[in-house]
Amino acid sequence: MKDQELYDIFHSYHPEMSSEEDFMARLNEQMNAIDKKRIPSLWERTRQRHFLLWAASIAATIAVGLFLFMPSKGNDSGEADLYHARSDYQTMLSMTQSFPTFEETVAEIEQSGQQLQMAIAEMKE
Amino acid sequence: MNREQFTFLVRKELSGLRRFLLAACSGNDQEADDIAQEALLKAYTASAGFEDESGFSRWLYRIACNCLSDHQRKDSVRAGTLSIEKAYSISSASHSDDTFDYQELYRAIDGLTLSERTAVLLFYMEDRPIREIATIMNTSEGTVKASLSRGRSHLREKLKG
Repeated sequence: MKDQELYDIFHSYHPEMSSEEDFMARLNEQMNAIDKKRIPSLWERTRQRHFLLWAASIAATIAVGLFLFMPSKGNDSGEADLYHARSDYQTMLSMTQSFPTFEETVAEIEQSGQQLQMAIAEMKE
Repeated sequence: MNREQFTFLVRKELSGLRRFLLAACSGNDQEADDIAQEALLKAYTASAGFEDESGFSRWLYRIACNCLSDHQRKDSVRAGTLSIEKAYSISSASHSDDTFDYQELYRAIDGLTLSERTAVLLFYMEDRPIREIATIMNTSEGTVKASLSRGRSHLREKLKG
Protein backbone atom coordinates (compact mmCIF):
# COMPACT_ATOMS: atom_id res chain seq x y z
CA MET A 1 0.00 0.00 0.00
CA LYS A 2 1.34 3.42 -0.93
CA ASP A 3 1.54 6.33 1.45
CA GLN A 4 -1.05 8.17 -0.58
CA GLU A 5 -3.55 5.42 0.14
CA LEU A 6 -3.07 5.89 3.87
CA TYR A 7 -3.50 9.62 3.44
CA ASP A 8 -6.70 9.02 1.54
CA ILE A 9 -8.03 6.63 4.16
CA PHE A 10 -7.38 9.02 7.02
CA HIS A 11 -8.50 12.10 5.12
CA SER A 12 -11.81 10.44 4.32
CA TYR A 13 -12.27 9.70 8.02
CA HIS A 14 -15.14 11.92 9.11
CA PRO A 15 -16.95 10.08 11.88
CA GLU A 16 -20.19 11.30 13.33
CA MET A 17 -19.57 12.92 16.65
CA SER A 18 -21.85 14.27 19.33
CA SER A 19 -22.81 17.93 19.06
CA GLU A 20 -19.93 20.36 19.41
CA GLU A 21 -22.21 22.78 21.26
CA ASP A 22 -23.10 20.11 23.82
CA PHE A 23 -19.42 19.39 24.25
CA MET A 24 -18.64 23.08 24.74
CA ALA A 25 -21.54 23.48 27.17
CA ARG A 26 -20.13 20.64 29.28
CA LEU A 27 -16.68 22.16 29.07
CA ASN A 28 -17.95 25.61 30.06
CA GLU A 29 -19.72 24.12 33.04
CA GLN A 30 -16.49 22.55 34.23
CA MET A 31 -14.52 25.72 33.54
CA ASN A 32 -17.03 27.63 35.68
CA ALA A 33 -16.41 25.16 38.50
CA ILE A 34 -12.66 25.74 38.16
CA ASP A 35 -13.16 29.51 38.16
CA LYS A 36 -15.19 29.33 41.34
CA LYS A 37 -12.48 27.36 43.10
CA ARG A 38 -9.75 29.59 41.85
CA ILE A 39 -9.28 32.77 43.90
CA PRO A 40 -7.46 35.17 41.63
CA SER A 41 -4.91 37.48 43.13
CA LEU A 42 -5.59 41.21 43.28
CA TRP A 43 -3.02 41.65 40.54
CA GLU A 44 -4.76 39.18 38.21
CA ARG A 45 -8.20 40.64 38.87
CA THR A 46 -7.26 44.24 38.26
CA ARG A 47 -4.32 43.92 35.89
CA GLN A 48 -6.24 44.48 32.70
CA ARG A 49 -9.05 46.75 33.79
CA HIS A 50 -6.95 49.06 35.94
CA PHE A 51 -3.61 48.85 34.24
CA LEU A 52 -3.06 52.64 34.34
CA LEU A 53 -3.88 52.77 38.02
CA TRP A 54 -1.35 50.01 38.71
CA ALA A 55 1.27 51.77 36.58
CA ALA A 56 0.69 55.10 38.35
CA SER A 57 0.84 53.45 41.79
CA ILE A 58 4.09 51.69 40.98
CA ALA A 59 5.60 54.90 39.56
CA ALA A 60 4.53 56.87 42.65
CA THR A 61 6.00 54.25 44.99
CA ILE A 62 9.30 54.35 43.13
CA ALA A 63 9.34 58.16 43.23
CA VAL A 64 8.68 58.27 46.99
CA GLY A 65 11.32 55.61 47.54
CA LEU A 66 13.88 57.59 45.58
CA PHE A 67 13.03 60.80 47.43
CA LEU A 68 13.35 59.17 50.84
CA PHE A 69 16.43 57.11 50.23
CA MET A 70 18.30 59.29 47.77
CA PRO A 71 21.89 59.74 49.06
CA SER A 72 22.70 63.29 50.23
CA LYS A 73 25.10 65.46 48.30
CA GLY A 74 28.32 65.22 50.23
CA ASN A 75 31.93 65.21 49.23
CA ASP A 76 34.49 62.53 49.11
CA SER A 77 36.78 64.16 51.66
CA GLY A 78 34.41 63.34 54.49
CA GLU A 79 33.51 66.88 55.42
CA ALA A 80 30.47 67.38 57.60
CA ASP A 81 27.20 67.74 55.77
CA LEU A 82 26.21 71.11 57.21
CA TYR A 83 22.95 71.31 55.28
CA HIS A 84 21.56 68.16 56.79
CA ALA A 85 23.09 68.93 60.21
CA ARG A 86 21.46 72.38 60.27
CA SER A 87 18.75 71.53 62.77
CA ASP A 88 21.32 70.10 65.20
CA TYR A 89 23.45 73.19 64.81
CA GLN A 90 20.49 75.48 65.45
CA THR A 91 19.61 73.60 68.63
CA MET A 92 23.17 73.89 69.81
CA LEU A 93 23.25 77.61 68.97
CA SER A 94 20.09 78.39 70.89
CA MET A 95 21.50 76.54 73.92
CA THR A 96 24.74 78.51 73.89
CA GLN A 97 22.79 81.75 73.51
CA SER A 98 20.76 81.01 76.63
CA PHE A 99 23.87 80.20 78.65
CA PRO A 100 26.77 82.55 77.60
CA THR A 101 30.31 81.47 78.36
CA PHE A 102 32.50 83.03 81.05
CA GLU A 103 34.61 84.96 78.55
CA GLU A 104 31.53 86.38 76.88
CA THR A 105 30.16 87.53 80.24
CA VAL A 106 33.49 89.19 81.17
CA ALA A 107 33.67 90.92 77.79
CA GLU A 108 30.12 92.16 78.18
CA ILE A 109 30.87 93.57 81.68
CA GLU A 110 34.05 95.25 80.41
CA GLN A 111 32.13 96.80 77.55
CA SER A 112 29.46 98.06 79.92
CA GLY A 113 32.18 99.52 82.21
CA GLN A 114 33.77 101.35 79.32
CA GLN A 115 30.42 102.76 78.26
CA LEU A 116 29.79 103.92 81.85
CA GLN A 117 33.21 105.61 82.07
CA MET A 118 32.55 107.40 78.80
CA ALA A 119 29.15 108.56 80.02
CA ILE A 120 30.69 109.93 83.30
CA ALA A 121 33.40 111.71 81.31
CA GLU A 122 30.80 113.37 79.15
CA MET A 123 28.83 114.51 82.17
CA LYS A 124 31.99 116.10 83.69
CA GLU A 125 32.57 118.08 80.58
CA MET B 1 -4.43 34.15 28.17
CA ASN B 2 -7.91 34.83 29.48
CA ARG B 3 -10.97 32.61 29.21
CA GLU B 4 -12.34 34.31 26.08
CA GLN B 5 -9.07 33.85 24.21
CA PHE B 6 -8.82 30.26 25.41
CA THR B 7 -12.37 29.43 24.29
CA PHE B 8 -11.78 31.06 20.92
CA LEU B 9 -8.66 28.98 20.26
CA VAL B 10 -10.30 25.80 21.56
CA ARG B 11 -13.18 26.20 19.12
CA LYS B 12 -10.68 26.30 16.26
CA GLU B 13 -9.02 23.07 17.41
CA LEU B 14 -11.97 21.20 18.81
CA SER B 15 -13.17 19.34 15.76
CA GLY B 16 -9.71 18.05 14.83
CA LEU B 17 -8.85 17.16 18.40
CA ARG B 18 -12.03 15.15 18.95
CA ARG B 19 -11.57 13.35 15.65
CA PHE B 20 -7.96 12.53 16.51
CA LEU B 21 -8.93 11.20 19.93
CA LEU B 22 -11.86 9.25 18.54
CA ALA B 23 -9.56 7.46 16.11
CA ALA B 24 -6.95 6.95 18.84
CA CYS B 25 -9.65 5.38 21.03
CA SER B 26 -10.72 3.11 18.15
CA GLY B 27 -14.13 4.67 17.82
CA ASN B 28 -15.06 4.77 21.50
CA ASP B 29 -16.61 8.23 21.43
CA GLN B 30 -17.40 8.33 25.14
CA GLU B 31 -13.80 7.63 26.08
CA ALA B 32 -12.52 10.04 23.43
CA ASP B 33 -14.72 12.88 24.67
CA ASP B 34 -13.77 12.21 28.29
CA ILE B 35 -10.10 12.47 27.37
CA ALA B 36 -10.79 15.62 25.33
CA GLN B 37 -12.60 17.22 28.27
CA GLU B 38 -9.83 16.26 30.66
CA ALA B 39 -7.17 17.64 28.32
CA LEU B 40 -9.04 20.89 27.76
CA LEU B 41 -9.59 21.42 31.47
CA LYS B 42 -5.92 20.80 32.16
CA ALA B 43 -5.05 23.25 29.42
CA TYR B 44 -7.51 25.81 30.81
CA THR B 45 -6.02 25.51 34.28
CA ALA B 46 -2.55 26.14 32.87
CA SER B 47 -3.62 28.72 30.29
CA ALA B 48 -3.17 31.76 32.55
CA GLY B 49 0.56 31.67 31.96
CA PHE B 50 0.38 30.65 28.32
CA GLU B 51 0.75 33.49 25.82
CA ASP B 52 2.07 31.81 22.65
CA GLU B 53 -1.10 31.65 20.55
CA SER B 54 0.74 30.31 17.51
CA GLY B 55 1.86 27.29 19.51
CA PHE B 56 -1.53 26.67 21.08
CA SER B 57 -2.46 23.73 18.86
CA ARG B 58 0.84 21.97 19.48
CA TRP B 59 0.53 22.61 23.22
CA LEU B 60 -3.06 21.37 23.35
CA TYR B 61 -2.29 18.19 21.44
CA ARG B 62 0.66 17.51 23.70
CA ILE B 63 -1.60 17.73 26.74
CA ALA B 64 -4.18 15.55 24.98
CA CYS B 65 -1.53 12.93 24.16
CA ASN B 66 -0.43 12.88 27.80
CA CYS B 67 -4.04 12.42 28.91
CA LEU B 68 -4.50 9.67 26.34
CA SER B 69 -1.38 7.96 27.61
CA ASP B 70 -2.51 8.26 31.26
CA HIS B 71 -5.94 7.00 30.36
CA GLN B 72 -4.62 3.99 28.53
CA ARG B 73 -2.12 3.18 31.26
CA LYS B 74 -4.95 3.11 33.77
CA ASP B 75 -7.23 1.20 31.49
CA SER B 76 -5.86 -2.31 31.05
CA VAL B 77 -8.19 -2.85 28.11
CA ARG B 78 -6.11 -0.40 26.12
CA ALA B 79 -2.70 -1.62 27.25
CA GLY B 80 -0.68 -3.21 24.50
CA THR B 81 -2.51 -5.02 21.76
CA LEU B 82 -6.20 -5.61 21.98
CA SER B 83 -8.02 -8.66 20.85
CA ILE B 84 -10.16 -8.32 17.76
CA GLU B 85 -13.18 -9.55 19.70
CA LYS B 86 -12.70 -6.74 22.18
CA ALA B 87 -12.34 -4.22 19.38
CA TYR B 88 -15.65 -5.40 17.95
CA SER B 89 -17.36 -5.05 21.28
CA ILE B 90 -16.01 -1.53 21.78
CA SER B 91 -17.05 -0.55 18.30
CA SER B 92 -20.49 -1.99 18.85
CA ALA B 93 -20.86 -0.18 22.16
CA SER B 94 -20.08 3.14 20.54
CA HIS B 95 -22.99 5.47 19.97
CA SER B 96 -21.88 6.64 16.55
CA ASP B 97 -24.10 5.38 13.78
CA ASP B 98 -21.25 5.32 11.32
CA THR B 99 -18.88 3.33 13.56
CA PHE B 100 -19.57 0.28 11.44
CA ASP B 101 -18.12 2.04 8.41
CA TYR B 102 -14.82 2.48 10.18
CA GLN B 103 -14.63 -0.87 11.98
CA GLU B 104 -11.89 -2.15 9.75
CA LEU B 105 -9.88 1.02 10.29
CA TYR B 106 -10.46 0.92 14.05
CA ARG B 107 -9.32 -2.69 14.24
CA ALA B 108 -6.20 -1.82 12.30
CA ILE B 109 -5.48 1.18 14.54
CA ASP B 110 -6.13 -0.92 17.60
CA GLY B 111 -3.26 -3.23 16.76
CA LEU B 112 -0.82 -0.33 17.01
CA THR B 113 1.02 0.67 20.16
CA LEU B 114 0.15 4.05 21.58
CA SER B 115 3.22 5.76 20.15
CA GLU B 116 2.66 4.20 16.70
CA ARG B 117 -1.00 5.16 16.78
CA THR B 118 -0.27 8.74 17.83
CA ALA B 119 2.46 9.19 15.24
CA VAL B 120 0.35 7.71 12.42
CA LEU B 121 -2.74 9.77 13.25
CA LEU B 122 -0.84 13.03 13.64
CA PHE B 123 1.04 12.40 10.41
CA TYR B 124 -1.66 11.05 8.11
CA MET B 125 -4.80 12.53 9.58
CA GLU B 126 -3.57 15.83 10.99
CA ASP B 127 -0.88 16.40 8.35
CA ARG B 128 1.64 17.49 10.93
CA PRO B 129 5.37 17.49 10.15
CA ILE B 130 7.69 15.03 11.89
CA ARG B 131 9.35 17.76 13.96
CA GLU B 132 6.02 18.94 15.33
CA ILE B 133 4.92 15.38 16.07
CA ALA B 134 8.17 14.89 17.98
CA THR B 135 7.39 17.99 20.05
CA ILE B 136 3.84 16.82 20.72
CA MET B 137 4.99 13.33 21.70
CA ASN B 138 7.93 14.74 23.65
CA THR B 139 10.39 12.50 21.85
CA SER B 140 13.04 12.66 19.13
CA GLU B 141 12.35 12.88 15.40
CA GLY B 142 14.10 9.53 14.95
CA THR B 143 11.72 7.83 17.36
CA VAL B 144 8.74 9.35 15.54
CA LYS B 145 10.08 8.09 12.20
CA ALA B 146 10.54 4.61 13.66
CA SER B 147 7.02 4.62 15.12
CA LEU B 148 5.63 5.80 11.80
CA SER B 149 7.46 3.10 9.91
CA ARG B 150 6.21 0.33 12.20
CA GLY B 151 2.69 1.76 12.24
CA ARG B 152 2.63 2.10 8.47
CA SER B 153 3.71 -1.52 7.98
CA HIS B 154 1.07 -2.73 10.39
CA LEU B 155 -1.69 -0.70 8.75
CA ARG B 156 -0.67 -1.83 5.26
CA GLU B 157 -0.90 -5.40 6.39
CA LYS B 158 -4.24 -4.99 8.11
CA LEU B 159 -5.91 -2.80 5.54
CA LYS B 160 -4.76 -4.50 2.35
CA GLY B 161 -7.47 -6.09 0.34
